Amino acid sequence: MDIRKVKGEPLIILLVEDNADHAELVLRTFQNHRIANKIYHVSDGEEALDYLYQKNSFSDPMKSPRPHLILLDLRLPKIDGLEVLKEIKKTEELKKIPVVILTTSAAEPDTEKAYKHYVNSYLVKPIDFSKFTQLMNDLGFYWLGWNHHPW
Amino acid sequence: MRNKSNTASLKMKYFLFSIRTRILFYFGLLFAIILAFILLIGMYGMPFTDFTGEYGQHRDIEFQNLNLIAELKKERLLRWIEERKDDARVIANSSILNTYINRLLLLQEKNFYHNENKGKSWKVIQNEADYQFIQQHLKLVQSSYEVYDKIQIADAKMGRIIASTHDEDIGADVSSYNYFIKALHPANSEIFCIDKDPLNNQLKLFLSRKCQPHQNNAIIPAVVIIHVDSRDLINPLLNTKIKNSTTSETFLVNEEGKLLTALKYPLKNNSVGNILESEITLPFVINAAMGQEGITVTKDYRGEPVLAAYRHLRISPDSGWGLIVKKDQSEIFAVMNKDKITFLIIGISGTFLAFIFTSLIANTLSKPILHLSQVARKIKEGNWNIRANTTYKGEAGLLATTFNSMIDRIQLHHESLEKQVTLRTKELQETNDRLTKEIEDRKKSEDKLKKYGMLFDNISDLAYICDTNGNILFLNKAFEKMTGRKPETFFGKPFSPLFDEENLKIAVELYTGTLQGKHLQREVTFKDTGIICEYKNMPLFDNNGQLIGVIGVARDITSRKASERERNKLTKELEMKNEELERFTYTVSHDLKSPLLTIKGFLGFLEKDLVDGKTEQIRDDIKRIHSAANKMERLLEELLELSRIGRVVNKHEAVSLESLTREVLDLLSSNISHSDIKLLFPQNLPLVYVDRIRFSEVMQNLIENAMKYRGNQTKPIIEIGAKKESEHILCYVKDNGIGIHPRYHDKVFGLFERLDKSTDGTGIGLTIAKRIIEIHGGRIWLESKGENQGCTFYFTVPQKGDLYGHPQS
Repeated sequence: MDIRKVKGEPLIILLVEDNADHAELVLRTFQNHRIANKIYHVSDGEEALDYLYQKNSFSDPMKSPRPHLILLDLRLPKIDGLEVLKEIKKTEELKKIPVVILTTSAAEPDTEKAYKHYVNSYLVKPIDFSKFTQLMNDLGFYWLGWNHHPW
Repeated sequence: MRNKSNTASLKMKYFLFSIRTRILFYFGLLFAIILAFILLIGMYGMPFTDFTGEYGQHRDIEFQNLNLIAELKKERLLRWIEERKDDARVIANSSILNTYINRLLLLQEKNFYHNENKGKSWKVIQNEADYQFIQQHLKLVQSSYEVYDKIQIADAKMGRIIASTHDEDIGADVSSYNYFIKALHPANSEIFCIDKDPLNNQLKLFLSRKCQPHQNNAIIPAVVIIHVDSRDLINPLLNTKIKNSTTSETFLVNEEGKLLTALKYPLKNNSVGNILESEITLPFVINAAMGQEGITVTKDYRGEPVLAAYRHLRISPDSGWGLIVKKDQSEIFAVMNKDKITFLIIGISGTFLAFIFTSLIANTLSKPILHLSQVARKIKEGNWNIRANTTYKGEAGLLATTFNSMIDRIQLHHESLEKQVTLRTKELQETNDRLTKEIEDRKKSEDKLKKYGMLFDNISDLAYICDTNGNILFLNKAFEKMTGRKPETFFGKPFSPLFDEENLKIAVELYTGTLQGKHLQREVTFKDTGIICEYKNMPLFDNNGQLIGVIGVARDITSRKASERERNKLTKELEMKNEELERFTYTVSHDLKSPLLTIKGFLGFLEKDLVDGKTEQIRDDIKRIHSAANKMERLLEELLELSRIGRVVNKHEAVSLESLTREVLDLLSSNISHSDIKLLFPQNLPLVYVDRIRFSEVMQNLIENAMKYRGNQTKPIIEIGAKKESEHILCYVKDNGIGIHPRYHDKVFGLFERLDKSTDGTGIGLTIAKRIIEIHGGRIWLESKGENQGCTFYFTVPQKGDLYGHPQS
């Protein structure tokens, strides 16, 4: 996991989460375990797409580098998480970015729909704090450590 | 009688047109024609060839003969003429005679002109010695030739006879006669002409010549006139006779056509031709006299056909005679006529023989044909066993054999045909019987059907039977109930008038399909009455399994259909509600779980921070836990409120929309005054029939939202309005605030949905409003062209109490 760090290559996560408390939970967990050196947080679907397409408030490429991983909540204001996923997976230059759904919902239709739209992983936030911390840890190791990126 | 005569005429016809008769006739005719041809050619020659036939040959020979004779006679005549001319010349040129004549002339002149007694003067002359001498001389000439009647000397000046063999002639005036005038013409020498004797006026042939002792002497003293005995002329002609000829004749004419010799036969008018007097003006005769010679086939002065040769005898430069030698054709061809009879006999007997032969041939030819026709007639009469006699040889035998084999075949064919006819007749009979039976059966079964049909009369459904031609056989009493028309009036009539154009298509499909043996079922909606019928058709068979029609039942399913529709509607609504419930449950679990996760998560951090002694973090952790717990409490409260809307319903009443809006505005008045929001609403808003408390919640929520999301609008306006529509009242709340992107128009009504996290609230307000409107049986939706374009919320409410809005006790 630290190879990239040594190389000085930043590992970037885009966190799409409307709930500020939850975002704080994720950020803090990652910070505690020094998983990613850069996390960008957006709070709704529209912002997420703006970030990825580098539009509107994210038109500056320095402020919106391409992430190595997208953590996506499903219930988002304005544009729903599933819509964002659909948009990413049908866009040629975005579809290679691993997208992991991170949601409180364990509803089956959502899972099915997400996989139908080529989601790379579907995770449900555990209520239990230690489990939540563990999940975040594993998530970081898996996607940013073990997993090989296409670019 | 008529029949008999008919058969007789038929027989006659048969005889006339039979092969035998025809062969006889045509062969006989042919033979006769050929014979006639041969005979005719033999007699008259072959056309376009040198062969001239018997007639031609005879004619040619005869012409040769005639020519020969004519030539001979011409020679003789010419010689005779020359002799006569010589005589005249001798006299005229005698110098002694001329001397005497001159002396006599002088004497006579002296006496005549100086002597007044003229009559006596001629006597005086006669006594003169000169005259005597001349007369003696002339008499000598006459006596030596014996062919002259008289020899005279005429005075050229006076035209008087001055000397003659006969004394009585002296003094006769001849000055006006041709023989005198012509003789004096300088071009003429000897002249022959017919003229009158001045003494007795008798016609005579005269030979005259001027006395011209010296050739160059222009003075002509006298003319010698010789009276030729015309009988003498015949002598040269008589000497040659045509052998064995009775009709041959020779005659001579002068240039005027006057006869010089006697004719053998009388003229046409039966008068005897007088010599020197009668004229023959036939063209060939005149031609001969005028100088032509030749032969001709012509008719003579009697009108008899003759062959003639004609010759010209030149007497003087301007006159000549014609010599005609002719012979009757009847004499010439007499031999031929004898031959003709012989030919005729031979011809007739030949033709007769030919008839006999052809008759024999015809018999041989026609006998087998007659035989065949007899056989054929007998066969025609039905005697199929008879056959033609094949013992004939040659073609007849072959014909008979062929005929027999043909008859064999015809007989065979005839027999098989008869068999077939018998068979077919039998089949036809059978078919006929079967058909008759079938018709009877059909009739019976139809009667039966009608009887069975009676059974259906008590059935409430319409029952019907149709035959295979689309005619109604039976309709039960239900038909009357359904249509109000008597079923019997349609019996035997086609079913088509019972349907309109569209339904008829279905009915025909159903009917034809059933006739193909299918059991079919179709629904038919009658537009005029709104009745829906379900038709069930079955094919109808008789006892023999023969399709005889269609039987069916039509059931009025109008009410069933209506309830089906109702059920479907309810089912759909239920499904929608279920779906909504599912969504609701999911949302609730998610949204309740969310603060729980926050609480638990920050409790975890709190624990850690306590251990690590991070007091700053601890305060934040607690704050977050606190707010999450609060949010959870609020969520639960609102959920409870939402659930209450469906369960607890207040009394519906007629509410003035205007007063209700004013009440809401009163509640919110403090906010409005602070925000400088302009409120517009008309005075005459209609009455609505609603749960007053709940409805004011809707209005409050909508107006609050309009205020809350006015954005940066400097002149915020909120407009409230309503208008009556056909079934409900349409209300709206319109603002000019931040607006909503069309893609969120549905989402905003969802539970806990919030487009803007920066504003206060849980996102249940519009969900509650929607719920209330739906409880009232209305609908709510929004229209907005997009962000910062303002937004209008529409909703409908009933004008009066309806299904869901009745007050409950």
